[in-house]
Amino acid sequence: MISRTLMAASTRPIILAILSRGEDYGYSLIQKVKGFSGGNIDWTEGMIYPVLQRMEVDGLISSQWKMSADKRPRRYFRITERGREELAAELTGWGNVWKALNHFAKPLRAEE
Amino acid sequence: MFDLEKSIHAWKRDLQGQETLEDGTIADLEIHLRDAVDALKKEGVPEEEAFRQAVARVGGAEGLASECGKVREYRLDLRSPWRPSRFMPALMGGYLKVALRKFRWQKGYSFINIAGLTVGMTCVVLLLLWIQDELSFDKFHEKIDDIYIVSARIKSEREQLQVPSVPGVGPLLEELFPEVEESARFLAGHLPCILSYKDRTFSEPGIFTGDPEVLEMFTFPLTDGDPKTALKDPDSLVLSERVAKKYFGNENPLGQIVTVDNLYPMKVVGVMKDIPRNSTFRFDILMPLEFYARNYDKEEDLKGFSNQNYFVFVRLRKGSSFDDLNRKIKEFVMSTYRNDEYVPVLRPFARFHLNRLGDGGGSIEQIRLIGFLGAFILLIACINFMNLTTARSGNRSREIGMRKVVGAFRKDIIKQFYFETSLLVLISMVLTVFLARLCLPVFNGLSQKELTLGLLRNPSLLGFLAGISLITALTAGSYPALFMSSFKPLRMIRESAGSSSQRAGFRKVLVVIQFSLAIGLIAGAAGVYRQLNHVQTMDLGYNMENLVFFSSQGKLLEHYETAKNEFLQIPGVKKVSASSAYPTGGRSNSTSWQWEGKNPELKPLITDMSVDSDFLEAFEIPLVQGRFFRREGDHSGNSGEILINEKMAGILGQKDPIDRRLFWPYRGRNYTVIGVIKDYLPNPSWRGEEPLILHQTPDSFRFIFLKIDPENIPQTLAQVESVFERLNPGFPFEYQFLDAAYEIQFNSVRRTRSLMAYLAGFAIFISCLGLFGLASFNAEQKTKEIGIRKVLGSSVPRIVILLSKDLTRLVFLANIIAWPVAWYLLQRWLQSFLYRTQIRFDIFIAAGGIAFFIALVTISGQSIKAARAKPVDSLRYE
Repeated sequence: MISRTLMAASTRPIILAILSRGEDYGYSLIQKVKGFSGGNIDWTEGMIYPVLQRMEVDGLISSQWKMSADKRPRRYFRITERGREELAAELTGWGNVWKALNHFAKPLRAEE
Repeated sequence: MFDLEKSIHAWKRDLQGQETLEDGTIADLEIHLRDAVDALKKEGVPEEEAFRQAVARVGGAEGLASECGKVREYRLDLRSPWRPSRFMPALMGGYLKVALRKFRWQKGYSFINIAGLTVGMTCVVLLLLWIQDELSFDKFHEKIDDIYIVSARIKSEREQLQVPSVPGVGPLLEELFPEVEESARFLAGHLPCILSYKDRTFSEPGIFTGDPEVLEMFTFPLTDGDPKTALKDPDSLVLSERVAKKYFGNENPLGQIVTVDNLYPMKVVGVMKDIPRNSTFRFDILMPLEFYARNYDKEEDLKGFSNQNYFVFVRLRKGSSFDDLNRKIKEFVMSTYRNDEYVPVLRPFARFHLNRLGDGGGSIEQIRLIGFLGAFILLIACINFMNLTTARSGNRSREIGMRKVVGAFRKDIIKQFYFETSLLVLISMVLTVFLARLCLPVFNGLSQKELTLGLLRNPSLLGFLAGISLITALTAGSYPALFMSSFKPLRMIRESAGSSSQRAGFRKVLVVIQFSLAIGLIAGAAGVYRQLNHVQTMDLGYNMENLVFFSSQGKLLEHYETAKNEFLQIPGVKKVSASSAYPTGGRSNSTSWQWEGKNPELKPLITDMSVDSDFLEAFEIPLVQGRFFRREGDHSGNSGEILINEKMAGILGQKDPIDRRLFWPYRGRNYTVIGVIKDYLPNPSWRGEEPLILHQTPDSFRFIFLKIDPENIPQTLAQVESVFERLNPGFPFEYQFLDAAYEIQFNSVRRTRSLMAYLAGFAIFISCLGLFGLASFNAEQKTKEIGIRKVLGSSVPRIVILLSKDLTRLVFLANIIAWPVAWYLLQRWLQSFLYRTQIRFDIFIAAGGIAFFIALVTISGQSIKAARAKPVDSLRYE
């Protein structure tokens, strides 16, 4: 399980990352995250929609209603150019955070 | 039995109850829920359980709604979803309806409000047009920025700046200083000439003589002829279109020969456009200076530095500074002549009209005065508007309270009030344009201008109007908008229409300001009126009544003594005299007179005038000492006798002036003083009593004066005319009365005076409109109180006093404030006059009295109406 704050911070980058592989819809996004993390990342499912809306307002993603294979209309989200830039920035940011965390979490060695 | 569809439907209803969840979002959530239920059912979870788990995973309606609300707020530029958008067209209609309803209910107030503002604005618009016209003077000359007029700083007894200058200075400056590109001279002719062509003969007053360069330096465009060559020939002249039409009709004027003074044939070499009204110099005929010099014996004059009647202009090269040049000129004069008694000074021609030298100040002083008045009137009108608007708004606290209770925000109330005042201002503006158009002919008659109200061609006026409207709407609307809207609704409804003391205080201040301005204006107008009257009617030291004069053209002078005798034969003619000076202006003066014992440091400017032996009696100027020219003496001009005025006697020194001998280099001979006359002022443009020498040189007589009997004037004049025509065939008899000619100079003074009177009247009118509105408002406020007082036995007079007390006290206070300020401003204005009237205190008392009286009449009219109403009506009033 991860903390609420970390979850709040990571939601947008994770969505962007998934969408960077191709368009997708809300339920599927949740299932992918849950499946990959083995249930460690557990979103309140409905809450993804306000987040997606906000991202759309910010111009990171765009959406379109489409009829899917199982005859249900679904809103498909697609990453925009600006979303890709944002994703790249987030990756660098998270990488830096990860490096720092990893580094300082190791026990102190003699030469340091 | 569990029904999935029904459960989903119920769940959806729950979501739909949340205002911030849009249909699209709800659809998203529903599909999500269905997907989740399907997935759970596939895992073998029973349908009911699957639904419960899916709902739990999706999350509660309120939490979702709150999150979606945040996104929407963010999307709507941070406005919460339940707040209305900024501009709601539907409400505008409502505002308009309320505003119009208010106008309808309060016809009187609305009328006063709009009328006051309209009248005030109209005054301001007209004054602004006037000022614009004054500022536009001479600006049509294309090279105006490089043209400078040469004036002279003369150090005689006191330093003075004189404009007509000596003719020699122009060519000299051009020769000495490379900055000077060219120079040109005018003689602004006071010599009327007789022009004739075939059978058409007229006396032409508008003649200028000038250098040929005049046509190139200034923008007096020729419609016919070449400005480069015109006037190069000394026997040529240029006519305005108007005059050309008068002589030649439809003939081509170019190349025609006209005769000047029945003597000199001259060729028309150019026709120029009529000179616009906003030109300082206006003439119809331009002749070469060379012609004038040659035929009127002025050739020496033209080269010299003694005749100070020429307008001399120089045009500087682009980029040269006239300040620098002025310094150089002064250095040159100092190093060459070792003194600075007479230093030419360049002044920009662009400012010449505004800074004219002369008594009563130049036009810039008038512009300041008018500008001041305009600002005053505008202020009074705006205060009026604000006062009435705020007073009326007091009645509306209940309405505002109701609006707030029903859900209006403060912002909406503010918007509503601004809207209403803007509407009033807009109506006034439209009316102003109409009224100004209507009043323009009257104003033009008053100001002797030909102003037009081309709003679209006048962006600065348009901008000014828009600016004033905006400021008025904002200031007048601000008080009710910002102040009234700030109250708690409960208080507003409960306390109803009572005038809060704070609001009343604010209004009182405005009333005091308004009345101070009005009283100041009346006092100012009275002061200005008195001063201008003083200048016009002051004792000049001679009697100009029943004096007729005409120019001594043609043969009249050759046989002056015969002519004089012939005129004296006419029964109505009592005295005949002649003089060299135009009676109401223009003179010749010089510093060249010499006498024994003259202080070489002192170079007084002495005016000389040639008169005949009856001058003193015709003009009724008293002789102080000695005798006048003998009637039967030598009239040839060689007697060498002169008379001086008292001022000149003072300059000559302590000794008895009689028999003193003076040398005049201009004539190259000595003169003997035979008498002293009392100082007199030929006209008020004389700067005080100036030294004057009278000599008897008949060849320089230019005007003949007849003192006639006030009885039978037409008959006398007819006889004079027949004598004139017999003696002087071919010349038109054109006469003037001296007092009428003298009056003409005061046209501008008279204009200023009547303008002041009108403006003061308007100021009072607007102030009283405001006061009337306030008084009736006051009475209305106290309707109930009056009713109760009357029921309890109060009398009408006591109620009137009660109602009037407050406002009259304010008017009194306004007097106290206005008097010293008006006194101070009047004193400052008077400084520009040489002959000043005393400002007596009575004008202030009178101004205060007038304001007081009008205020009292206005207030008590309303008060009496209120007081005499039946108490039952006033108590029932609500």
